[in-house]
Amino acid sequence: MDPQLMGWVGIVLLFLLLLARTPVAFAIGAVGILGFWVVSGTGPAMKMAAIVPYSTVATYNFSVMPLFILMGYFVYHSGFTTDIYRSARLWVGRIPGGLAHATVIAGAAFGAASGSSFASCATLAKVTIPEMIRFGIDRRLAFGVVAATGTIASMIPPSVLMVIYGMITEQSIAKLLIAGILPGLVAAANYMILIYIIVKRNPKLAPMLNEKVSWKERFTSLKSSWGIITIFVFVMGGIYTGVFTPTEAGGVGAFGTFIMALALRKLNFTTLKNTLLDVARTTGMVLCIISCAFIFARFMAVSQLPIQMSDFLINLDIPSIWILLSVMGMYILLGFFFDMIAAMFITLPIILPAIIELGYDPIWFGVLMVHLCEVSQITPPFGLNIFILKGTLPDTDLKEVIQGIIPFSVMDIITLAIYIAFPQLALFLPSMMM
Amino acid sequence: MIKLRCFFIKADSSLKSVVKALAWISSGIVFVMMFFLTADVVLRYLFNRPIIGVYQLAEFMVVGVVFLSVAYVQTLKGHIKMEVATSWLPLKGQIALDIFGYLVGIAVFSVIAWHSGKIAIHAWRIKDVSMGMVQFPLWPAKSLVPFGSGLLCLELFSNVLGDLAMLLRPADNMPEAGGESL
Repeated sequence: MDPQLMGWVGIVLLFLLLLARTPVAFAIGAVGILGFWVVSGTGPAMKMAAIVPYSTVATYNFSVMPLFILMGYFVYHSGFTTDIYRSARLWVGRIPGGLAHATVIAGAAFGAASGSSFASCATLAKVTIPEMIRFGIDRRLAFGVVAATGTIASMIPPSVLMVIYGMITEQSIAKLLIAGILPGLVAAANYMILIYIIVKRNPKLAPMLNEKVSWKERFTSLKSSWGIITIFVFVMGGIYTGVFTPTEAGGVGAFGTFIMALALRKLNFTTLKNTLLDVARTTGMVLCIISCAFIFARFMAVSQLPIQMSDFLINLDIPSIWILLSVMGMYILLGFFFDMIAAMFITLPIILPAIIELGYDPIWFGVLMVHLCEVSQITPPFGLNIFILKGTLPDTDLKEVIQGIIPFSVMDIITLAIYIAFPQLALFLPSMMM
Repeated sequence: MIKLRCFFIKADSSLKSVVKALAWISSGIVFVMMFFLTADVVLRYLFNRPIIGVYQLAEFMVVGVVFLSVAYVQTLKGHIKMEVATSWLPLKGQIALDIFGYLVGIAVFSVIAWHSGKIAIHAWRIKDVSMGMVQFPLWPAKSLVPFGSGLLCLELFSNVLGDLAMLLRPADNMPEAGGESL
């Protein structure tokens, strides 16, 4: 059979398998091996299946993954979110929608220490939602803020998603991590602007806090946060200046947060045990998918579909920005009914060569992709964060959560437009690196 | 029939304890890795005496973390799948699809286990070593791939049997479909 046609058949088959509850790793691996076998024959296919899982995982860059995950878990256990939320409240509590703003700040700060937006959303929900409801903030607003803010953790380094993107596309993981800093801050700022507008238009949604706070209180409240801030600056500074590789930074960062959790007496033997087991489980799960995705990528390569795709896209007689925008549109649509990370594994080997050929920067495109993953996490009907939130309060209606999220989803699209209009946001910091 | 069932239950519980023990080793490696990399950074920048071979060892460690835990992930039903598109199906339909998914997994990972096993044996025979400052033998890390994949297949096989038993059970005493998704 024509290899390119086989490539298309493979992609369709893969989507069908995924929709039919086949675990992502198994589906991707199966279609990869099968397709490679049909295109290149038995011998090469079996050899490929034998070598790729080892050669994928036994990569120095991959070792950063468990370390970033570990770091996030230690931060989670150290109760840092509660502290930062408290002090953020002292700083911004008197702005209209104060507690909601404090949630955004806490989310961004948690993101600076944790690489997973799943953990971030779950933690934020537990800490901030009861507090916001207690102070009379509209439930929908509270849900929307937490769902949206939880996603920032994927953009602000350390970020597991960035590492995954870097692995699939063989881009510099250090540069990708640094590239996420400014876009992450822009996203947080945009959420805060949105909250300000919402509350200004309808002050009833978020009653003012009438507590007097002295500047001294504000500064002393930062005391419990300095540990995390130091670790973040040290780790990211190390990556930025090239003193650390991302893997070393992960090791040092995990060690730092480990010591901090110990010092705060938040870590006992049982939590440590469970944490480590969780990390092993998450790493096994994620890297199992990635090795299978590499098998699939080999199939895509021999099917020559990526070349055909980029030839097709480049020879289109329309400006490249329109191609980029339609790719974005396609991903947004895909995100509505499909797990975006799985979609990334399937589509990136085909799409990225074309994007690079069109003259776009793969690091910047990584920022866009991670943002799209975030968007899909909060888009109804299947966004993961929606379901995390539904579980936090007993009498929550799914409709309430979704209504709360809609303005934030719209803001996410505006943020995406900003990233596209100003690539410097993503590329300025990495361009200064060696 | 009952004898056979007893045998499977026993085999399954010993499989589960092996898998759990390996998961502990896997999480131990993560912990050691953290200290190891920190020690390397400290020794290198403060004392200018890096640990030799740190790159290769870090690589071997990830192989250990991943392939010693893939079967454990399956015991928790932790290999993510998309459930939304099929959540409207009756429970038996979902279980049938799950069985199909596990069979796909067995197909993939038995191919991987068999052929990567041959590669591991080859690496052992020719005494293949890693490139770099220290020449570590490669067969221990390479044999983790067939080992972990093989265990995953066994675990999947036990899940298939378990799910089949559930399918054949009368509908009224069916337990709630559980499992963890991330």
